[in-house]
Amino acid sequence: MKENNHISIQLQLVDAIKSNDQNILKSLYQNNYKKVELHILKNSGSIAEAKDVFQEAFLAMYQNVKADKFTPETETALQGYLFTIARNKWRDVLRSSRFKKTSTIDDTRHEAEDDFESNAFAETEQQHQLSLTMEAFKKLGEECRTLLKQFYFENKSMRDISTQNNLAEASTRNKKYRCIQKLKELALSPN
Amino acid sequence: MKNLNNISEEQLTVIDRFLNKEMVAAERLEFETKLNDDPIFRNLVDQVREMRLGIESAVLKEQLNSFHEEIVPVKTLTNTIETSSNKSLTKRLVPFSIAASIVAAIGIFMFMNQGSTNEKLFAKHFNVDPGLPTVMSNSSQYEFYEAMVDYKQEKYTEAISKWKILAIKKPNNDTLTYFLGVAQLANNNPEVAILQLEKTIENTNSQFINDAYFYLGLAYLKNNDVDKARAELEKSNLPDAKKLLEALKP
Repeated sequence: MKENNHISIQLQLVDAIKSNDQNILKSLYQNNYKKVELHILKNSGSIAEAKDVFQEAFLAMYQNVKADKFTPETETALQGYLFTIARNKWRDVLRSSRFKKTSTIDDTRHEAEDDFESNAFAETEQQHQLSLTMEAFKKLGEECRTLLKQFYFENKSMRDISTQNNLAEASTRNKKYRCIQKLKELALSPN
Repeated sequence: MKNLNNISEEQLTVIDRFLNKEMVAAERLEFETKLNDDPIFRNLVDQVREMRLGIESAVLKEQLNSFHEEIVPVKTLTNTIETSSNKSLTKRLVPFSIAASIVAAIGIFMFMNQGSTNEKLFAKHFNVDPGLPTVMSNSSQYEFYEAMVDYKQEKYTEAISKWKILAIKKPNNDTLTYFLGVAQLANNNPEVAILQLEKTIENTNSQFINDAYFYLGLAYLKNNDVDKARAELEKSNLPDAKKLLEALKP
């Protein structure tokens, strides 16, 4: 029973992430960064690298939560998950050519612990597509970016967006469709 | 993404409505049946889902730097680790590096000072709600008050465990969400406290509303989010909230 309750708090966190709750996302980011920074600094990294690795890990955590690839099992499951992703990403950096000659790597404990996500972050076709969409989004015009952000990220209704822009709902819907087409075009021909 | 080439505006609208959980039961059922029976349609829905995740990830990524800017650096020690890897350069750069360290030290001091100011303010203004009187009358609410006894004895973890069991049955009970929020904050867990207290304030008639805004403000302060803290404190009519608000003035 007790465990169920711990999980219920985690499930609330998961729901908050799924609905892009700004306060929760920010709080999770800020409360978990330092632990990762300390780990990376202790293991041959710099502050700038810590930030990059943590942001990549945070996005990976977010995407896995959104895609239902993460199920919380303990009270701090999500926070632990985030740390593990960051630690593994840093381990990959350390193993890359830049660090090959370095031998101060503290990664002796990870093998047994990381089973639950070891194959979740290999660069898959799906992730490649995701990166293409993210890159394409950056290239969209301001108007499209705002509209898609309001509808898909902020979960604003078509009606609210239309009222805000003084447009008929059908026009907003058509505009959204055209923005998606543009996004798709940019993603399919990234250069 | 490739299969989105042929998607019509109507299809996109319908799939978005499904993914936004806006469909009524009958419509949803019909949609799900098609999803099961038609692999091409299923693939189309997957493509839309993937595209939406790409958009949301791109938006979130844009926001991460602003999340980051408000974090206080861990220790000055970290700078030492960074600079020690450039030893060959340091001799030539000594004069510059001294100047740079001074600038960095001032910056770090200001950052740390900001963080510790918030912490001091939090410590000064955070007093745990004294709780409700634990009268043991009829015992339908026995579990609630049993946890209240733990709470008053500052055994917050125990109190939280007991209240959480009750909260499963009554997730929106404002008394429960309020005390869970305060206990989580006392237990140094501001992000869960925020979740709970946000539920309390959803009930605008709650007798705890002003207290909830006050503690929500404190929870944000604990997270170094001064703007959010101010916004919540302004909604509370408690004198303590006004005092803290005064102290938070830039």
